Amino acid sequence: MYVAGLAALMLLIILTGEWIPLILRSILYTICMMGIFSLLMLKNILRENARSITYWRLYAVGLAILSGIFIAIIFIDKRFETGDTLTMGMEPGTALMVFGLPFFPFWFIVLWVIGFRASILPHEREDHLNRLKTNKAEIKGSTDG
Amino acid sequence: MDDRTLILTIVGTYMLICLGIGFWAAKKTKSAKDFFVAGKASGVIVMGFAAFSTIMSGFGFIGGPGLVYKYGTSSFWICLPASLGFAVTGIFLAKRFKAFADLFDILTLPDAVAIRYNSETCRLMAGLVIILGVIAYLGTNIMAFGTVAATFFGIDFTIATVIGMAVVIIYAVFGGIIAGLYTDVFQGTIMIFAAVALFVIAIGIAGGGSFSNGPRNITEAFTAAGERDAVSAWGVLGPMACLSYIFLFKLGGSGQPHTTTKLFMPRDMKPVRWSGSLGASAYTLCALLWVSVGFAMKYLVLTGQAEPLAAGHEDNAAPMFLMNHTPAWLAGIVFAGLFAAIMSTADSFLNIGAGVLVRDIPKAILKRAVKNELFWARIATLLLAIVATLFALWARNHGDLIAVLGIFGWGLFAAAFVPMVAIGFNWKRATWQGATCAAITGIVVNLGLDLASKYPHDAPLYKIPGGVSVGAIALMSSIIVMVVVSLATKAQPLDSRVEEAMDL
Repeated sequence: MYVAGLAALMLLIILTGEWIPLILRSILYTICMMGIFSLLMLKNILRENARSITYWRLYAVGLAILSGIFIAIIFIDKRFETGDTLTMGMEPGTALMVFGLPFFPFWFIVLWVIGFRASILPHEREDHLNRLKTNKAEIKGSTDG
Repeated sequence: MDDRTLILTIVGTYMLICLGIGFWAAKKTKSAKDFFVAGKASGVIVMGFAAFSTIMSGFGFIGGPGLVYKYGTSSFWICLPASLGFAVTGIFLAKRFKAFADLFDILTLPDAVAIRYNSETCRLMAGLVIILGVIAYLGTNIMAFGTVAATFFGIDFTIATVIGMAVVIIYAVFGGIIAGLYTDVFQGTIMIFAAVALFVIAIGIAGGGSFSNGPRNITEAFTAAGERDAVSAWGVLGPMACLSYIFLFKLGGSGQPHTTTKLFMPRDMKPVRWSGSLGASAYTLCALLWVSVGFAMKYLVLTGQAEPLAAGHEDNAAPMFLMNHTPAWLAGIVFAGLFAAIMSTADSFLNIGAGVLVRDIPKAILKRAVKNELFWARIATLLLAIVATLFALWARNHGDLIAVLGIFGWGLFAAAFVPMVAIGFNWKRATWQGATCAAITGIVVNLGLDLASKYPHDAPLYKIPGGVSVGAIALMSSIIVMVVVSLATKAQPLDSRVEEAMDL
């Protein structure tokens, strides 16, 4: 429901075109987009005990920081004038994009790997799946395998 | 040995190794389960490499540098946040698909869709979307293969296309997805080496021999030429277009059947845990080629060291750079990497397309499966490859047609499968009507909006504000339709095992 609402807002933001100033439009779009990512991602991160709740919060913090990076790029890029000091040979907004976009999202990958048993698939859930697998009655299908 | 012969020798050796892997895999392929899901017994490295090399197609090696040459940093927003895409797909689907693969007789994505929604209509819809996307994707990849070979090696387009597809056909027909997975490991290794080596050379050339001066020289050359936008954070296309790329390519990644199907293949939970990190790292390394070569080529043009590329031929940026600015031995390896990128994507598409033809369409329409699926899967792979090759040969002289059909690639899969799969497998209230309507919406909006924004050429019917991509709008529309139609239709009772898998 919320996901559809945010998608509808994004469509509205696009279709209104120039009616909303570009910076405001970009920020609103970013918030809606990251809202959809957050709703869908956080729904899948477990919150069964203190340890998994900690990981859930770390995912939430990561999503907030990533949203912040997008919005920061919007502002930094807007303020840059030709002749201003470059950062590592690039405009500051470009440098933040070039180093922020590839590396920061690894936060989620690292959390996935190190928190896998706490926040994604605890051993007891995997054991439950294995029991179901052992008892499965396959839906009839034709495979020659 | 002259440069051209050396390059062709390296590319030829690469092709022979792919064939060798195909013959080895053929011995291990004894059933349809082996052919389509590698016996559901793949490990971490195979899964990780397969995930990234399937996604990194010819578009990444040829189209990516071309986009950078034309639009500057705008396309960085497609390739740089690769790890976000891998994380999203993993979190939405990895353990759930593994659970479905363990609990049910699943060999194809439409198999899983039919079980989730208890609907053969959904299976048929998913199958049709895959066939449409596969023909379009394969057609564009085959065209890219033939064009590069014809333009830069002087080989006849038809002969080059037939040779390239013959290699893919041989290993994909006999070795099935096992050959696909292991050639992906080999091809992925070449792609990473090629990308990193070319990145160092490209930035070094732009830096006048100094790697650290490269970015500054590029920024200053673009600014001096009055093309500052190209080196700003959003590139020429602006923030709305770039943000729409994030939405389409990172959320849309969880709707790409050629990669999500691989989530049925892990032998246990270890690959589920580790392969995403391997795939994301490998893709990020390959993106180095994407971001560097287009800029280096344009820098050479702006500083008068190279001839400008003709308008509409920006995709030649990478091959031109290879032919004129890299040592022949490295150009050979990078060309092999380029062909690897195309072929590793093509074999995955052939496999999922064959699965639909042999398994899903008969089940959805005839309500039964074919006998001897392995035999028919090989025949279907062969036929699909021949049809796609003939289509590419015919479409070569219909540039507009291939461009229009090209939109049925990523955007179509994203708009159809993100609601049906990424949302539907995480939301129990989703219904088969919602999923089916969302897929239809994805097809109609993608095609309709693309045609309206391109035709007539002199005054298109509609201009999308902010340069937002058609696929992103189609994805938003299909998500809305999925939720609204699901809520408006009667909730479906779920099979107890489906519920268990979704609750995992």
